[in-house]
Parts: sequence; structure tokens; C-alpha cells
Amino acid sequence: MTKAPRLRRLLRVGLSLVLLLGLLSSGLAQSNQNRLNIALAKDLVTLDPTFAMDNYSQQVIDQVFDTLVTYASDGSMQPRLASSWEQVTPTQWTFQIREDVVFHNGRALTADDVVWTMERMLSPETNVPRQHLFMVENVSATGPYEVTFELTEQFAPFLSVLANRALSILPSEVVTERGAEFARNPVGTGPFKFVSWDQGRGVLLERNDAYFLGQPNLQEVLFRAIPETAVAQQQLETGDVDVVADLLPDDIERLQAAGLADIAAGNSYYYALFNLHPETAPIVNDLGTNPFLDRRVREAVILAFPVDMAVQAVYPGLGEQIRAYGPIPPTNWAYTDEVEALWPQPNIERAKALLAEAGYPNGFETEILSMNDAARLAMAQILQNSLSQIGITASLTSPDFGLLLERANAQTFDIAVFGWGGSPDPHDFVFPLLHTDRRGPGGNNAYYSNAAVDQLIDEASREADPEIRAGYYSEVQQLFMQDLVHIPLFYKPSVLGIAPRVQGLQVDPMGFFRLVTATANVSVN
Amino acid sequence: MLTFTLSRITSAIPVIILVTLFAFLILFLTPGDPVRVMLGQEARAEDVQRVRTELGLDKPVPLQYLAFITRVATGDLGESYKYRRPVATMIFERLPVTIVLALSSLLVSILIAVPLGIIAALNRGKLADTLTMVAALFGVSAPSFWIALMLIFFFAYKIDIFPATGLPPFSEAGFGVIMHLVLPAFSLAVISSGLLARIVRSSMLEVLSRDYMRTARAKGVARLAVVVKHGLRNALIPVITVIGLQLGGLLGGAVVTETVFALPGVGRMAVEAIQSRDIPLVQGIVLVLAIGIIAVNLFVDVLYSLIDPRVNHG
Repeated sequence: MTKAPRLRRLLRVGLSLVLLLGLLSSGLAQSNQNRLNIALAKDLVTLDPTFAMDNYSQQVIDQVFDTLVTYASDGSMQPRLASSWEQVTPTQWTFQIREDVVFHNGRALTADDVVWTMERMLSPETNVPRQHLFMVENVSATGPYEVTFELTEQFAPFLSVLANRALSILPSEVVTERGAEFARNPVGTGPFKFVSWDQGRGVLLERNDAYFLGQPNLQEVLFRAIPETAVAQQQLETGDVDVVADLLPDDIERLQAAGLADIAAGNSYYYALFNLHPETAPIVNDLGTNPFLDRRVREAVILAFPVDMAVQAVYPGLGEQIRAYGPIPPTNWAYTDEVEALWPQPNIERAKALLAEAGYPNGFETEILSMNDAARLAMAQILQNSLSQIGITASLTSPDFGLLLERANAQTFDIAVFGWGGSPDPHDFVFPLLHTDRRGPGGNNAYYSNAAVDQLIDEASREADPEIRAGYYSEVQQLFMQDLVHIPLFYKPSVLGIAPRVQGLQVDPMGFFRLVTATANVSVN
Repeated sequence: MLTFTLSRITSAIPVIILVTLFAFLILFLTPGDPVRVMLGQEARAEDVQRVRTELGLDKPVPLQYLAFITRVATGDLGESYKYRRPVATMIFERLPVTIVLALSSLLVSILIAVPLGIIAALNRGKLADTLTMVAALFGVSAPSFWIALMLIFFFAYKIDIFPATGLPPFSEAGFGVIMHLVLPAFSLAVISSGLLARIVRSSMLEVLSRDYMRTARAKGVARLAVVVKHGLRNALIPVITVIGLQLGGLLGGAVVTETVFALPGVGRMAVEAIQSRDIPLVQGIVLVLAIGIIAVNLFVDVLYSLIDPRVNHG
């Protein structure tokens, strides 16, 4: 055998291989033009609403299912599957259910489905991770399209509980028939029907032509997990992805200039806090006492820390819009702008004087514990720097979430940079963060306790009239602000990467995509 | 041969038990309560208590380990805390991706490293040697996440030839799946081929200086034939050992590669399981990977005797 034919044969095989690969890849590139491709930062856990706790799973659940009620952008409540509702007595609520709603399997939704869904959540046998209906005594169908809830006690934020995606309404017969498989092959009433869930490709949904708010414009929606944000951003730029849920702060300006970013007000409260626990704060070991129990020390830290500049540095161009003055966001109906004037302006000289007055003329050593994400870490570094100007030497620690939670719950930190996101009901901000009953693991990691604040929060949670409730919350915000226990930083904006071909996409205060609502119907061109 | 294989399998069992014990202890010694991590900060105390009891986390740690070992012995890896699905199902859904990734990157690295190593050895001290070894050094020292990001930047973003992320189901994309594996396999192969090229070179150098090589040349056998037939075959033994060890390393490297390329493999699942303190899932992955690595090493030992008849396991 001579050498030349062998070489030629080799070349031929090689060339045909290249051609074949090229053909295959072009075949792959053909995907549905009327499909919205959304990148999520994490893998989905479950599509069974009752068990879903993570935002990523809930994003998809929100497209396949509907809740009874939902939030407007100011946190007030709007109808969804329920057309109207009434608080009959302080502990009794009735809901009228829409009569034109059909599950994806073709069966009409009735009051029985609502009752079944709520009872599934309530039943001890279901073993839900989180009991959302802890205030419900009984739920029953009082008509074919009427549901009545009896509560154990008056609970004003009840509607916001029902807006949680975990209480999306389920078709009983399908859940029973599919058992655990329902979590990976769900049936709901939402604008999109479940098609498939493949680990490597993501979750594919197709439009529900019979959706009660009208036919969706989009033919398909694909949710893909792309854990590396930098890669997701590149795919946004090449057009492989239409929506990226959370852009890296450093890239916002560049992508905005390229017309690929959209910023919406967010609801998650980012704040620095002092640990007021008299014994467990590590600094007690050094100083024999917790210096942050002295309001003058807290004020000194606050006077040394230019929050405005820090927020501006982390989110250039957004500073003023997202600056926080307390747990309740300015977009919320219960917010009072009285708090803004109460906040001390930066003043290093006065800070030093206060510190000396409190007995620490030379400062002290402490530690800042921060959540491990770009925005909070940057804030923590600026705080660390500011403290050095008044003689306080702070080290910075940012462990993984599990470890951080452990230290937060055990109150074993001095100063921390945390975040809080919940339902937009004001109760869900002030009760867990400020109430004495929730000190420690419950959310009140400042270990803050103020009897007057507790009483106002309790009264507000029992008050049905929103105006009177707002009055209580106004007082709570002002009292809390004067105690200087948190350093409110900002409400994390939802910074969406979004391709120019996408029209009409909105995000709600909790950062959820709204693809089809009474007022919006997303399309791509 | 059979006795050798059997004795190796028996000696692997205590190793596997030790590995699971260490994995178990490390998870319990790491601060971070699985229930708290799962339920989040806003969890009510009642829910935390209830879920803790449900998962059996209220029992003493030695009892929990005993329960785990008993379950494993009966072939049951338990249920994931977070996903509420059988751990075995979750691992075997994702294992093929990791195995295909590791094998294809091994293939790529052999294809790169063996020729490079031979070229360097044959041109010892010359420019080709220096260039090859600088490239190999670069391969060993470049962080794999950086290589991965660079590959995506050039081959998926700047010139759009390969898809950057994901892995479509085989039933849909057919052999197009290969396109999705090119960049991940290559980025994972860079490090191992760097190391492998250096081993091939030094092993080749040693063999080339042997008497039988000179004899073969003196007998008039063509240079290429000597190198391949007499040289490479004898140089392969240390190389195969390294390849066997590398496969374990590749499984570890898959953690980074799978995250950057958004591939649904076991590595990425392991990271998330550790972050969410999903003990049964972490345990299951550790167990399966430990068995896999031990099996590969056993396979390598057996392979020796096929390549080199002098290796006698008697």
C-alpha cells in the first residue's frame, strides 16, 4: 500500500466529519422564534407549589399555576382566581371564585379545588416544609364558586399569605393520580402549560390558549439554569438567551448602554445591623461588654458611614432611587417619608466625639459579617473603610450561607450586612425583623426589643382598615429609626438583562416575571 | 489474576466505609443547620422543629450514621432533603453526563498530550521541546474556570461555532450533543494534558536511552517504528497510571466545568448539595464517586499486565 491513498482517505473522512458536525449544529440552531428564553441562576427544585420554597422554582410555578389573589406594585392586593373577597367578621373571609377558569387537562376549576389545595397544605400528613396557613382554623366551600376561611385570630396580612405561590390552586385528581411525579409533571390553570423538564435543557412551557385572562402572545417559554452569570450575560448578547434574572452590578452600566438591561424597583431590604445581644456578641470577650448597646456608639458608626456614596458606588446611577430608610420600601403603601429627615447626616468629627464620650476614644476591634454576594460584600468593605476613620478596626468575614445563618441565628456576630425579602405586606417586614418575639433565629438578628414597637406591630396585624394600619406602621418606622439599630442601605433593584426583541415584560415587587396579567402580555419579535 | 482482582475488591470495602464516614463527619462538623438552610431565615420555630423530626435530624449523630450505613447496605441511598426525591435516581440521572464529560476530556487530553510528549522527547533540548513544555506548564497552571470562560468568549461569543451552555436531550439533538461537549471537554482537558505531556516526555526519554532501542535501530528498524513499537509501548506504563489517577481528578474538575457550561452533571449537583447541607445527597454522591474511582484504579492495575507481561500479580 502506498502512502498517498491512505492520506487521501484520511482527509476525506476528516472532511466529512467536519461537514456532518456543521450540519448537526445548524439543525440545533433552529428553535422556535416565538419562544422566550429565560436564564435562571440555579437548578429548579420542584414544580409542586405546596413544596416550593426557592424563588427559581416559584418563577416557573407562577407561569403554570394561579393563586387566589396577587400583589400590585405598591404591595396592595389584586384579584387573580378570586374575583372578589370580603372580611365578613374579624376572623372570617369569603372569596368569590371566577367561573371561567379551566385546568390544563380541560376540567373547570371550582371552589372544591381551592378547598382541596388549602387542606393539602394544612394536613399534617402532607408534611409541608413551611406551614403558610398557620392562622387558618377551617376552610370550606360555601357555594360552587365560594370559599370561606375561618381564622384562629384576626390576621390583617391574610390576603398576602394567599398570594404566596405555595398556595397556587391545584387539580386534586391529577395530584392524587401522579403522586410525587406531579412535582415534575404538573397541571395548573396558568397562562402556560407544562411540556417537559430536561436537566440539560431546562423546563419548556407552551401557551394555554384557554387562559382566563386571554391567550398569551408567546408560543413557548423555556427556563434554563445557567449558574455562571458572566456566561448568561454573554448569551444574552449573542441572542441565545432573552432574559437574565440578575445581572452582575459591574456590568449593569455597559449592558444598559447596549440596550440590554432594564431596572425595576425591588423589594428586598439590604441593611447593616448591630448585634444588641449582651452576651453572645464576640466583642464582649474583648471588651467585657457589648459597646453597641450604647446608642452613642451606634450613632458614631452611622455618622462615619456615608450610605449615599456607598450605594452610589455599588449601583452607579441608581443611588437615590434605591436608597433605604427602613425595612418598609418607599413603593409600599405603608411607607412614611418622615423617616428620611430623622436619619443622621455623615459627620466624622461628631462621630469621634461620641465615641470618646462613650468611653472609646481610641476605638476598638470588631468584625463585620457579610452575606457572600457582590453588592453586600462591596457595602461591607466601604463600611469597614469608614470605621477605620474613627479608629474602629473591623475585619470582614463572608462565609457560605449555611455558616452565615448559623452565626446569625446564634447571635454570634458584632456587625453584619444582611438582606430581607418577603411578601410586600408591611407586616412581613416589621414583624420578623423588629418584634421581640422574633429575636434570634426568627429574623430579628439585631436582638432588638422595644415594647412600644411590639405593641404597634401587634395592633396593626389585627387592624382591618388599611389607613389605620398604615398609621401604626408609620409610628413603628419612626420609633425604630430613632433607635439606630439598623443602617438601612438599599432595596435591591431587580436588574434584568433583557433582549430588545422582548416587549412588555414586567417584574413584580418580589422580582417575579409577569408574562401574562390583566394588563400585560409579553411578546417577542 | 482472579485472586488479585478479588483481593483488591475486598480491600476496597473498608476504604469506601471510611470515605462515607469522613464525608458524614465533615458535614456534621461544618456549621450550618440543614433545616435552617432549607427553610430560610424567615422560618417559624414550629416548622423547623417539625421538619427536623421528619428528617430524623433530632436523633444522635452516631445513630444517624448507623441508619445511613444500614440503608446503603440494602441498596437504598435515601431521599434528598431538599428535592424530596430518591438520591439514587437523582445521581443516576446525572452521572452519564459527568462520565461522558470525563471520558471525552480524557480522550482529548491523550490526543493532545501523547504526540506532544513524544515530540518533546525526540527533540530534547531543542526549540520544539521548550515550546511544548512551556505550553504544558501553561496548561497545568491555568485555572480551569478561566480557560472555560475564555473558550466561551472566543468560540461561543466572538465566533459563534459552539454552543456555550446546556446539553439538549440525546433523543432530540442526536449527535448534535457532541457540539455541546466540545468546549467543556477541551477546557477540562487542558490541565490534564499539560501534566500528561510532561509524564509522556520524561517516560519517553528514559525509554529512548535504553539498550534495546539502540539495538533495534542498529538492526535497521525505521526510526518511527522504533519509537512507536519499542519506545511508546514501554513508556506507557507510568502514563497509564497517571491517566487512571487523572480520571479521579477529572471528576473533581467537572465541578467547575459543569457550573460554567451549565451541564447537568453530578459535580454541579454536589456543590449545590453541600451548600444546602443536603446530607443524604452529598453522601450518595461521595459514595458513588468513591466506588467509581476505586474501580478505575483497579481497572488500571489490570491493564498493566496486559501492556507489560512482566507485571505479574501472582
